[in-house]
Amino acid sequence: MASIVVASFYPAYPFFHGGQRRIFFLSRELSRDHAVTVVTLARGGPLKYLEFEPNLTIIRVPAEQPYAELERRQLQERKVPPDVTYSAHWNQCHLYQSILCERMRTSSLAISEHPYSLHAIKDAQGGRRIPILYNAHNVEVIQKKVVLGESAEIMPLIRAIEQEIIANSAALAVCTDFDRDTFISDYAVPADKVAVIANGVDCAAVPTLSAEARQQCRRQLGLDGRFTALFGGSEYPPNIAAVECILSAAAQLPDITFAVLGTVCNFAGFQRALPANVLMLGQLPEAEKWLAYVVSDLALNLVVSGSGSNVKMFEYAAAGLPILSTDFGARGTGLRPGEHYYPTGLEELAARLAALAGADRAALAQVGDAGKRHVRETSDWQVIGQRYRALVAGLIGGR
Amino acid sequence: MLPESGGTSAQFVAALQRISADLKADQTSLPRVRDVMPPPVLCPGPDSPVRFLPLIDMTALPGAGALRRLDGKRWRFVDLAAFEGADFAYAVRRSLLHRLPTERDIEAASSIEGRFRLLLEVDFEARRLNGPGRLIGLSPAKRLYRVLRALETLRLRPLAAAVHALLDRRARRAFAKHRDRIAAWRRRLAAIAPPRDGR
Repeated sequence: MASIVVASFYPAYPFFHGGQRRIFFLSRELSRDHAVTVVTLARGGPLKYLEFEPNLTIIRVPAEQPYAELERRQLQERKVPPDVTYSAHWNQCHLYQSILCERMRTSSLAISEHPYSLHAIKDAQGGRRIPILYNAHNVEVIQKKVVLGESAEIMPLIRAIEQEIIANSAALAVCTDFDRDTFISDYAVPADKVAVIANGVDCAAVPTLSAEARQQCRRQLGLDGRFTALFGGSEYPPNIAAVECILSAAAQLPDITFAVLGTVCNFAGFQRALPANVLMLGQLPEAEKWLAYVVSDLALNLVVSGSGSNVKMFEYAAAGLPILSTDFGARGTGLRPGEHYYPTGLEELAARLAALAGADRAALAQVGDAGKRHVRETSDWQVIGQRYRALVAGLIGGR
Repeated sequence: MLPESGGTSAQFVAALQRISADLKADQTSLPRVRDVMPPPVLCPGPDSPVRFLPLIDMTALPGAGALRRLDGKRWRFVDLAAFEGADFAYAVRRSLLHRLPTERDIEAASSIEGRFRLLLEVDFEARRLNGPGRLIGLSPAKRLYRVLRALETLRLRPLAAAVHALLDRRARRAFAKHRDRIAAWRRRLAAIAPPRDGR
């Protein structure tokens, strides 16, 4: 059994965002074969040492106050994202770096989640040279373009950071075929260096409720007799735009209840009077999030930009929810329009929602069931994990 | 529960929490976590008592009443002198600098004199780098250590050797003077983290 260290400049547990889920579940899959330690950087809170079955440790290291202050200033005064600040000032996270060094003394492989941990990893390697696997959650220049805008001064720096981690990595794990092709075309990465390790879902986490229990839950929640559509996402421009579309549709469809989950609810622009049929539920713990999913009638994904893939799609499908999604929102999931989800454009959203709310529930359930079967067979983290474990086995070799 | 029936999003979330708590645990299978306290990091092994030393003020320690007065910033000689060998090297580097000891540090920590010099050296470095920890007290020894460094920089070897000898004498005196307090501190550490194999 080899030792693997995963470096992440933000916490991976408890997980709330798609990226955090990717880190947690792929690391847990690797821990079936190896001792895996994920060293994560937190902004405040206590130092934590968390152990999971079968052989996964997550260390949550708070950044020292001066670094936290620097990061805050860079963001507020110069609009530099925290990840970019970390890539330049990683050596000011003394405790984190020491723990990373300690854990890497005996490791056979280092995994960089996102491109920003490269320098911290190289420093922690000391004189030892072990392979680095770059787990690319996105094509970073595309993802950052969405957040910062095409003309942001910092874009050349982000490209350089991405270029550097690619050059220093033994392999790349990417989320979608599109991302793989982009890395090959834009960064001239050899095709055999890139493996598509798609996003997935923990199907075991989905609660199993009988039809009666589900109905009772809906009654208790005041949803009885109301068609309920759900959207989940973090506070990220494509999700914010999606919620704006939902709010607009909600104003036209008062008989449908819209539930919005996740940190997207924190967006300052949503702290205004919203249509009465919209519930902004915020960030929920896993059990409550899954409960909200299984009591809903329809899931929405109206994302039209970004990179990587949307983890929410796998979760919607695993919960057996029929999905109304843009084709872009379904990229990289393997879900097929018409068969596993209802496709929609943003302009026709209200009409599509009205039609689905009035549609035969058995027909909706059929699409939901087809999506559920599909992700159980292809996208459970255990299934995805097999490819990831094979990729890592190839990198570690005889170490 | 819904807004139009007088409910709010907050009430909806509260209802979700209630229902979720009422549902049987076997209806879902979320990852189970074990929170290991204190975190066994920056210490020679997972059973080392060094893990009980607070790393920063944000580190919460369970049931370690005897160590509770430590704030992770200001360290007295006796707080660290209770450790020996590799434990001492880890305790000093970790507490004053949040760093790992080198092989040379661990070697130096095998003798009283070496431990004393290592403590002064790491404190000197922590102050120079504005590190997270400080050694309080031992001011004359700290001054002597600074003189030693200056002499070594100037390559005044005979003088440096003399100061070195003075520091060694101070080391022996400090450990002897605080013998009872060090012993008491060791007993408290042993009570918190019982040594294995009857050590």
